[in-house]
Amino acid sequence: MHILNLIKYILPLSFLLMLTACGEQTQIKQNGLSYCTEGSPTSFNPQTATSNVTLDATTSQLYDRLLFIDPNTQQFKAGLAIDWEISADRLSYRFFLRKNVNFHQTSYFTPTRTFNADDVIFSFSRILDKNNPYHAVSEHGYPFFEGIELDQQIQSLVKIDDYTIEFKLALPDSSFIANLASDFSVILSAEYGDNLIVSNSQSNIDNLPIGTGPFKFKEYRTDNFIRYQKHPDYWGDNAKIEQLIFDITPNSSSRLAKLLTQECDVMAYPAASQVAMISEHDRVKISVETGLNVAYWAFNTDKAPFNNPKIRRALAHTINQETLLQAVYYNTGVNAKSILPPVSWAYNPYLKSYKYNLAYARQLITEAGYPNGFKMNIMALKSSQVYNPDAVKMAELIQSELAQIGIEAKIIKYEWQIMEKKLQQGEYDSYLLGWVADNNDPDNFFRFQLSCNAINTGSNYTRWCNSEFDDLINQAVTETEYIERVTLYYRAQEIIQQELPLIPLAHSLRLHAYTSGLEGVETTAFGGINFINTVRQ
Amino acid sequence: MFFYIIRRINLLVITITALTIIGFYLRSRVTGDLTLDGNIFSNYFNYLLALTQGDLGITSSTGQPVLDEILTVFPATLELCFSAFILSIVVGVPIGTIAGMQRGSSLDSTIMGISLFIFSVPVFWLASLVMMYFALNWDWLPVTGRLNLLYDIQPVTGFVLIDTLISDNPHSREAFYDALKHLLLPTVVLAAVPTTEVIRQMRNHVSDVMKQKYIKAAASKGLSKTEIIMRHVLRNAIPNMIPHLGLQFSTVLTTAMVTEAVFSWPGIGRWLINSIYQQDHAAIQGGMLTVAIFVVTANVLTEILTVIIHPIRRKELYAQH
Repeated sequence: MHILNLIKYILPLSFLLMLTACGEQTQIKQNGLSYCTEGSPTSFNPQTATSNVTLDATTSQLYDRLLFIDPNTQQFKAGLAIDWEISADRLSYRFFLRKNVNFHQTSYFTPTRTFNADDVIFSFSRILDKNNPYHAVSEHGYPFFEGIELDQQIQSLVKIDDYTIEFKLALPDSSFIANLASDFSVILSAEYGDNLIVSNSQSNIDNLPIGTGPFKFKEYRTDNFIRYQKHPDYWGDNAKIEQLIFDITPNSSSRLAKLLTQECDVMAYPAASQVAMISEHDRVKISVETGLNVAYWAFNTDKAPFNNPKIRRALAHTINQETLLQAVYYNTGVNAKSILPPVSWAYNPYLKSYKYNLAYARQLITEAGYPNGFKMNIMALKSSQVYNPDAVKMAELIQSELAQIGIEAKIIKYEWQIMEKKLQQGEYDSYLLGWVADNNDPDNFFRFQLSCNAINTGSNYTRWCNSEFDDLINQAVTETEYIERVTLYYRAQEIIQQELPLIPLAHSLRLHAYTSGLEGVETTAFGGINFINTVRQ
Repeated sequence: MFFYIIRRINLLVITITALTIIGFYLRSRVTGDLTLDGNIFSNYFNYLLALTQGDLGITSSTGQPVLDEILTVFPATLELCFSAFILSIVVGVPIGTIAGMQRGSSLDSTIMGISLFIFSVPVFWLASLVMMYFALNWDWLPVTGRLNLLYDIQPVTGFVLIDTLISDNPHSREAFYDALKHLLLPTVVLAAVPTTEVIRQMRNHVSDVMKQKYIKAAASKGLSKTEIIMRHVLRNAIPNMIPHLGLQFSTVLTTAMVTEAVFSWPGIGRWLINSIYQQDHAAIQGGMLTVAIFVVTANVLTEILTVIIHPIRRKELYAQH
């Protein structure tokens, strides 16, 4: 009788448990928020970051910058610096720092002092000074700062007093202040750095973060989740929620499922194909912003036949942007003529786009000496990106167009970690990738990806080097007159258009889906999401 | 008996050696991990030495020791497997007994028909289906994961049902129910195929026992049907089940990997799939060794256990000598 009896009791009991559990609308859910993000951060220090996922997960949550860009007005706003002065020769920038700013207190660090000039010096000397004990701690260096050549830009960084610092520049540079406001230029704790040297665990600085931001680090389980808690002594208005979870869910259908069952409150990058379906649900809202980003198809210009601009132009004629926008973006993107998106102030509206014309493309290829076509490979990222919801599908569409003019393209799919390695080793013909602006300065789109110097620092994967283009973008940052800068950038865009180291394909709109009743989720055009003002109704 | 155990353990050693050779090959592809200076044999010996000290290498994706990561993900898989295993026995044994008692009846054919249907349904499809109805359409149960992440429960045993109960978190009771709700769908999906297997085996064994003369004798003594089932049928049928259950466990563990992927269950299956995506050889090697050694050991243990509690098997053994 035992087994039957057991079943008799267990079944109703378990149903009872289920019912009582369902009935509770719990406080813990009221005070917490979970964000379904698409990938794992590579580090908890934006200074070392290359991916948007890392920036999303860290900058606005854990850290503060000296100043930042207001998402609504696009003006610079005071962060850890309350004010700043620029000298007449535009070579020295003096920042006046905020007082009584507390660093995070966590299980691994207890600050004994508040934020001051030493922290700023520490944060930047780590990047600039090769003798700084922390300089070599970052395994992959500081790609953003190496790309903009910050070490050439800054001559010295001087502490005037405890709450005043001064940057001295080698040359006037209009993009300097925008770079300080970028998501990468965060302020770390010098005291924490000293402590880690004593305990000989320097690498913790990037893995167990200490900052001044509205949330502090609690726990990270790789590929699973990140747990942040409210920083109760934040210098500004405290965050309205107690707990912030980054639920790492690479698959966008799973993210959507979690959003619909309310396991997630906010979902990163709903797939373009899901938007119509999401808008049918009344418990979920969708927000759309224009994004400062671009998706492109780029070539290894070191390698034949892609070293020939004629071939690259021929390939541009095989692109049918309308099809791509419909099939890949489901109309959540706009077509691209330039690497700069139309919302940028330096966007050149006079550029002519390459018309979709396979017969002409074939003719160009024959003229370039390949009457029978050739074989090539296209690398595409498997996971969806801000600028490209589905690179693999895009690659397939391109592949089918290429097949019609006798070019046999092979698609190679990678995760970013692997693709980055391949890009650095130079083993490729072409790749589908994109760019999301780090700040509102156009220089950010050009220097990092297309300047000659970026070939050496390993971020110009096209390996394209054009001295006229380099001169133009160098001139543009030293120029102060707005109209002159615009003219220089117009010319730079024309050169890209002619030489085509990469073919711009589309600019994506930025989408977020979130539970109705949630307010104050702030996103910026350069990517990044901020939960400090988020509140549940 | 003693020789039998020695023979089984021999088999275990040989299998594990073969596995370590594969592991060694994978591990040697991780540059700069092991000291690979001598000849291949001393390298292999170093590798074995490292293994005995629990050194499975460092994952290339996170820089953590592989063993640490496995210890956080493997319990999640085991928890899922155990609960599915228990469910399949709780459901399968009574249904199989009913079918076996009435072999050839229309009830029997209905049960066998349904279980054949369930047996042939692909796991990932069943998983998507229950997920769609129970979680998305009817909104009864959470769709993925193991516990709502807002509950800050620190892993002690790695088994979330136990951890939520022993946690000093003020919301631990809520967390326990939450974990139970998360566990339900993956368990049902994972238990589906083993349940049909238990039903089939149970039916065969019960109907075999029912043909025995002592059942007729018991019936003629005037025992009621339930008494016959409890005292004679189950007692003689269940020990026959044990070797089958042991074999089922490895099937369950493999199916669990697929189930984990669908339900984003943070177990070793999902972890291994991620490692393969990231070409993390150290992690693949460690995960493969752990799962394989676990399955092989479990099988050998069941066989030994069967022989210990099953006198007939023991007789067969002696006859072989």
